Amino acid sequence: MKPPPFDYADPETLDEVLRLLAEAGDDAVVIAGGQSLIPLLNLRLARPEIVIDPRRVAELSSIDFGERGLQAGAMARAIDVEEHPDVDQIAGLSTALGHIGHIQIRARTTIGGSVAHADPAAELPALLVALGGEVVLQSAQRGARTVAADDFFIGPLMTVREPDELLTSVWFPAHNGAVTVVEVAKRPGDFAMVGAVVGYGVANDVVVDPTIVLFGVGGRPVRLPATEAILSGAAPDQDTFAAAKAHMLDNVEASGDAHASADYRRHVAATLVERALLELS
Amino acid sequence: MTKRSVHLTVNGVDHNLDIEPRVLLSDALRHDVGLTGTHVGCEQGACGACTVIVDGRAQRSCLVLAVQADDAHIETIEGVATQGLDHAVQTSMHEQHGLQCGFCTPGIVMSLVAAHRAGVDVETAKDTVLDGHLCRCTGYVNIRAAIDAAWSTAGGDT
Repeated sequence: MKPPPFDYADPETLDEVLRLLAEAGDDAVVIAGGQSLIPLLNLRLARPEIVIDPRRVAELSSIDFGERGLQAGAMARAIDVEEHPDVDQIAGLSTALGHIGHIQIRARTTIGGSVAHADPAAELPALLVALGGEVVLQSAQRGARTVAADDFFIGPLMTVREPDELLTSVWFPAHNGAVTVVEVAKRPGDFAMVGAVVGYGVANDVVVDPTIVLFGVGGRPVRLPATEAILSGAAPDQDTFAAAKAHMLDNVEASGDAHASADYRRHVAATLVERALLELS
Repeated sequence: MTKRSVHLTVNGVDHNLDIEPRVLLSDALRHDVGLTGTHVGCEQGACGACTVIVDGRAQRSCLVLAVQADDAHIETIEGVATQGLDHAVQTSMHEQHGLQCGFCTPGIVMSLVAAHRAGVDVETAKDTVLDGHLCRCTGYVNIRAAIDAAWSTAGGDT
């Protein structure tokens, strides 16, 4: 199918983008890479009055790897981060990006678009929650505010972003240990049926700063603090990881749909996390 | 809805189009520029038939609005064979019989031309790059053979 009719604006300044967004509110949709939005338009699941494209606002495409981690402008493209010489400064980032669609999709996918779209099966929102990152939201009337990733995602395709706000940048802090992203999908490039971001460090022979976030199992990235507590301070060995898996099998709340039952998702999630813990040890 | 003027450079030729913002790049290329070598399959980004090269990178033309591509340099399958000479990828696809019905072929060739030019290694081309394309004739074995052949051809790239 073809997209329904809409107006299109591609202003050259951030102020003008914010002004248009304030004016149109719920009737507007912001297009970043368009790799999720355009399929929704083609299927007519989205019918905006106006599509606002910030592609001419140069400052939104910045990619800064620094002391604090990666500060990425919302319009920074996945492929440019993936191919950046400093990408490995953020453990897990390269792996997460490699799971997004196909290389032809990642040539347009943006960091901000993926985070703002908040698909429950997407990798970047889960990584952002796992690393304790932040997003910056900006509006014409109220200026900028910073929101912790864990507070940003509410449910499937739902975030705390107000209709007049633009997500302008995303901050991925570096984890001091190792991080990986694992998932099960029917084919490479498909949305994950179940996935997990798993990371931890080792100090004095015990696990420190464990982080486990599941994606594709619920409406938003799901952090597992109780499973993390089992790992924290324990020896990074098979017994500890088996205990983490057992805890997940008893406690993870997964949703079932046509692609996979809740039981299947719970089982796969626990197995993926155990394997990832072993892989990182 | 208000039409917009869009300037595209397609295979080195300038085109000024007056089109609705909702027109996909794939449709602008086919209907407004008149180049029907770019095929339209799923229009959801899954199949890869519509892949073209935009500013040096292989992308889905069904997932780009033509207005987003204003002032972009676009290469389509029509621009690959130059001066009567096929690209190494085209020659190999022919010699290795890397196509059956041919519907997915233009998109695959565009992805491979971009990858070949970018110096992507042969294994990445066969896996990561080809992953982004569906061949419903399921002729992947011969497509992979064509990639091997194209990548072993020294030089000859454009």
